[in-house]
Amino acid sequence: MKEEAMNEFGSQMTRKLGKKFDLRWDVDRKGVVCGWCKLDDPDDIYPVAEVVAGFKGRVMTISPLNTPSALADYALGDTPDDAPENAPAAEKTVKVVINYHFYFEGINLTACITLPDNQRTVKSITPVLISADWHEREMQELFNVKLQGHPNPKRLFLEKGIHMTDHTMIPLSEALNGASTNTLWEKIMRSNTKEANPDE
Amino acid sequence: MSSYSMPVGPIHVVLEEPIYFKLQVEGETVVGVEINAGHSHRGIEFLAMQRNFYQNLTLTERVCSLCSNNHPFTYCMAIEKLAGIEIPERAEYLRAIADEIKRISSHLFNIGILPHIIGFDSLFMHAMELRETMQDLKESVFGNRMNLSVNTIGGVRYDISNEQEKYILTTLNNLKKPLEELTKIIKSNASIRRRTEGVGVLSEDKAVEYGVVGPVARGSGIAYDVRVDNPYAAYDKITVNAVTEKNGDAFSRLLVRLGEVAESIRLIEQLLEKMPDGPTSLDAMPDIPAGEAIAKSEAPRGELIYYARTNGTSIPERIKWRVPTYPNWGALSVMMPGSKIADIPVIVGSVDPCISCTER
Repeated sequence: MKEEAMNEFGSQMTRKLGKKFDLRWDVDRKGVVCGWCKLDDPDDIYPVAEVVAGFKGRVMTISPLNTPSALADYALGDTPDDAPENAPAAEKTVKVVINYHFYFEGINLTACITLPDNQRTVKSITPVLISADWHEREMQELFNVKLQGHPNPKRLFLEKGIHMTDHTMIPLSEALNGASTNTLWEKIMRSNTKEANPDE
Repeated sequence: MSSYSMPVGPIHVVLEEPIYFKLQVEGETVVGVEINAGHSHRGIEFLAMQRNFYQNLTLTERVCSLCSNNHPFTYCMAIEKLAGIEIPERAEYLRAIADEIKRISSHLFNIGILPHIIGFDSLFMHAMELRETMQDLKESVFGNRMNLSVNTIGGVRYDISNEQEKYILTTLNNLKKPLEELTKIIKSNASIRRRTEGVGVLSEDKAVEYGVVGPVARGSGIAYDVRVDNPYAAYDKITVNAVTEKNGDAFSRLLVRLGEVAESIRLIEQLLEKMPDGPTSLDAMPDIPAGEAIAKSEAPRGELIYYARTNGTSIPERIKWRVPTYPNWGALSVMMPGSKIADIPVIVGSVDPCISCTER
């Protein structure tokens, strides 16, 4: 049954895209099928979503990543202390790679797109697959990838006042809770010096 | 009738964790819901990209407490798949046993919470008492009540002796009768049925559309269980039955969890019986090459997926996971409209949401 779905998916994709694309299947020894599909044009993700919707499939998750990662230098051995604070981060070409993980007919399929330099907009697939909704909105907030045609692109996690820049991942604890805790802490410290021990 | 908007949360009467629902109500009836999360985000995915493969075992175990075992479990499977590591057969069984023990505890917790929400506290205590026997079991076998820390890349870090095997089987056997009693009370008690039947209905079509997973999907008649459909560890060597119900209401989801506790007991018995002798892990720490892989497992709340991408260094380039609660939130916008305000806690509780998982 899985084999049929795999072939059917391949032929539907060829029909929809009308060109060559990179698709490879791997089957592990327990029979779990994982497909890996590389798309040349980021807009091709929409027809892929349509094919998956045709199978009554769903989006399992979306994994965006910056490559090279903003932390790539650290990983190679530099300590964070070595990193100059005014490093021209903007000059580095950082590409956004987005992996869409779909599930249909018992098959796991990962479709991968790479956004061209300086483009951080992607076509939303939520209109065809509603299960993509939260994943896309999370990507929009945490990776500053704008969604084209999302029915409800409201913020899901981040506070409205936070402005995103490219290639940033914001630790939300710092951005939200940390801020309120700080305010609270400062208030406590102030009261401590003034009124805590009125006898002294 | 004019419509009002009513906030529920972020600090909520039934949930220990913060999430914000902005409800549109007409009189007592909910007509719309908007969810705002992010109140306890810790940036763990980001942290995982700054730690090496072994440090991440400890980190991922701390994403969530109730399904803490599934995170390092699935993380290890993703890394092993990527590196082409085959773990010893005994380790596959041991992983599955640890996971089923965690599932029983987690389900009994949620089964207890629902009566608590509707004010039936004696039943809540009854369920928690049963869960306590599982907590004791975990403490005796693994040394910990919540974070078992049994998984490592290439196998497991514990073994079961013959004595322990006997102890596990006796404990599970003693659990069967009280579990039957509990099931009988839940199925026959008028207050429970009145408060949960026909409440928070999610039809099968909508469940497919929203891509819900776990007991929420199975309560709506979708027989999707990762252990059956995409087997992993030792689940391909035993028979696993996906427990399903048809009505898609809070009561169905409760019954699915009850059925799964009984099923898990059966699974552990099968696993212990069939478990072969042999090593439990690899001898050496393997090097992780560059590559990418996904791995899935059935956590107590449903399908958990890990995506890993590496570049040949000791630190992963990207670790992304999607927890089972995540896709289930969206379905609340189908379950809630039409219900009364008083039913909100029952509906939210029936999804068995995990906010620390959602926000990572």
